[in-house]
Amino acid sequence: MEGAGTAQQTVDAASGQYAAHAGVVEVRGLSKRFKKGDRDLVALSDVNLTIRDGEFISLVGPSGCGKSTLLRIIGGLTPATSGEVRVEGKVVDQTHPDVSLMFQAPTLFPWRTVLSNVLLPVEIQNKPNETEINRAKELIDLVGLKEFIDHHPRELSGGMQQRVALSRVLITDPRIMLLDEPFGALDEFTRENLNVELGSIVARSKRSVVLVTHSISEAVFLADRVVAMGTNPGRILGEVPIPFEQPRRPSLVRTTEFQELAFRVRRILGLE
Amino acid sequence: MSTQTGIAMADEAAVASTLRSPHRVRDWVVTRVLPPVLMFVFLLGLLELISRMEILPAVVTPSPFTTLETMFDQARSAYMWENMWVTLQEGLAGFAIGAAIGFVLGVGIGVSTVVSRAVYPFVVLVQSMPRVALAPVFVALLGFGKSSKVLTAVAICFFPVLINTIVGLRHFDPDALLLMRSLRASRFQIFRKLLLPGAMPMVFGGLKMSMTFALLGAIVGELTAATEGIGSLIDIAAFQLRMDAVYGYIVWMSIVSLVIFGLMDWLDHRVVFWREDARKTRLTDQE
Repeated sequence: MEGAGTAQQTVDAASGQYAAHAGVVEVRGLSKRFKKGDRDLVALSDVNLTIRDGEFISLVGPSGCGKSTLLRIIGGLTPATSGEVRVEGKVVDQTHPDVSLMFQAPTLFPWRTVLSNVLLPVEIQNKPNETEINRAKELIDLVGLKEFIDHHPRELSGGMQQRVALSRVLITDPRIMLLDEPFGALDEFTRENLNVELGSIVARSKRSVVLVTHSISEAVFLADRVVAMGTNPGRILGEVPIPFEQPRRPSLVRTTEFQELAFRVRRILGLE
Repeated sequence: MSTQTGIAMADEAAVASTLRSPHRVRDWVVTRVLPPVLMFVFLLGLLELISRMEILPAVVTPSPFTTLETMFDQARSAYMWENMWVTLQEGLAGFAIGAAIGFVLGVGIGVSTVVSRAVYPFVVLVQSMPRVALAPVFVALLGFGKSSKVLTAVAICFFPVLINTIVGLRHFDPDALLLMRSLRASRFQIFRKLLLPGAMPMVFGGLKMSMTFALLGAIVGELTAATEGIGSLIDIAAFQLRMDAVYGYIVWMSIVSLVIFGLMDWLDHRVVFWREDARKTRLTDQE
């Protein structure tokens, strides 16, 4: 995914598979209402979104704009009130094997070693074989935790734990990764490092990613397209395509083009 | 990236080693060993004083040194150990049965709403009963032998495991459940891989408590009616107004209980090595 052009070609190639749909994820007229006491809370109102194959999308917006809810609906963990979501052409009514989720908390099982935590998704499907165990080891190596493979989560720092969680997301080789503020609980330095790593891992593997974040600069830095969301009701306000080539270098943040794009996102969000 | 992580870990090791004082043993003696030893000596002195001044009837306050002497005699005789062994057998059998019942019922109530609704009210009812008072009933039912003591132990020791199993199974990380669901785990897999191991710290807490209760139950059973066991020795000694012997048996029983409790604690740390308080020892949360 060296930019929008390549992403477009992938769509064309893939379109034979699910002819009627242009994107790997299609969200159409999606609404979500919660009952809170007597009041009806509109978490999402008429959301339309297409995610192309291999595209990295950031959902950015203030708390309460429904971005996490949208992610969970795409992931099949929460039902929509109306409208529909299609993943690879199929209507989502439960969790999908090609979709993998990552949360703000690492959510590792403290009684499992790093390796066995990473293998959990495999284990749910079948007893891990040699190939899968080796793949888990490669992924742990990829996130720089080779020496910690037999350690338990409590022996790792927060950032290291989130790296394990990232390996666990990648083990199923998902076409679509849904990341719910994955590094939101980490300190600034660790977060930046992990963002750069995430960018390069995703760029190499050509996966589609939806990243939910509060941080505009994180959103712009990682995504091919930033989707800005607003509150009351939760809805999409607009979007900004980010034309920089993937993967990106940390110095990109200091360029005027980057600043300009971040400014456009801020304006859509009503911050400027 | 891995080199950065390596450096961070080296730093952590350095911090850890500076925290270790060179006078570690001396500090440990002063802060950990000395206070309880001093307290023990003080209490011994206090007891001796009460005994000498005859504040309480002399028969219930023998000199602590007389008691210590009696304790040595008791320890030298096979008589006490044989009887203690009987009590331990009863207590441990009661514990095994009681803990198994508590765990199975706890799992049933913890994972199934139907079972919970059917069984839980009766569990609370049984818990609110003074169950030690059932000991005479059990003796009437099963006779003076060991089985009535085992049953008494079962009756009072199943509850901590039961309640802790329920609480442990219901206390889980909602994100972890969401993760398991997103991985399309079955109900059984969620139970087996998330809820059950997650409940283990609580279950073990319950087991430790149950162990103490089980030994208590066995002794209560023996005090009610028995021909052997530490409880019956206490009963006989009390009847003869040999309070030094009564105290001696109680202290020996406490020491043995303490050893068993220590073993449980050791097992707990081995099995549930990830227990919450272990996490607090982490030095830093930075990379």
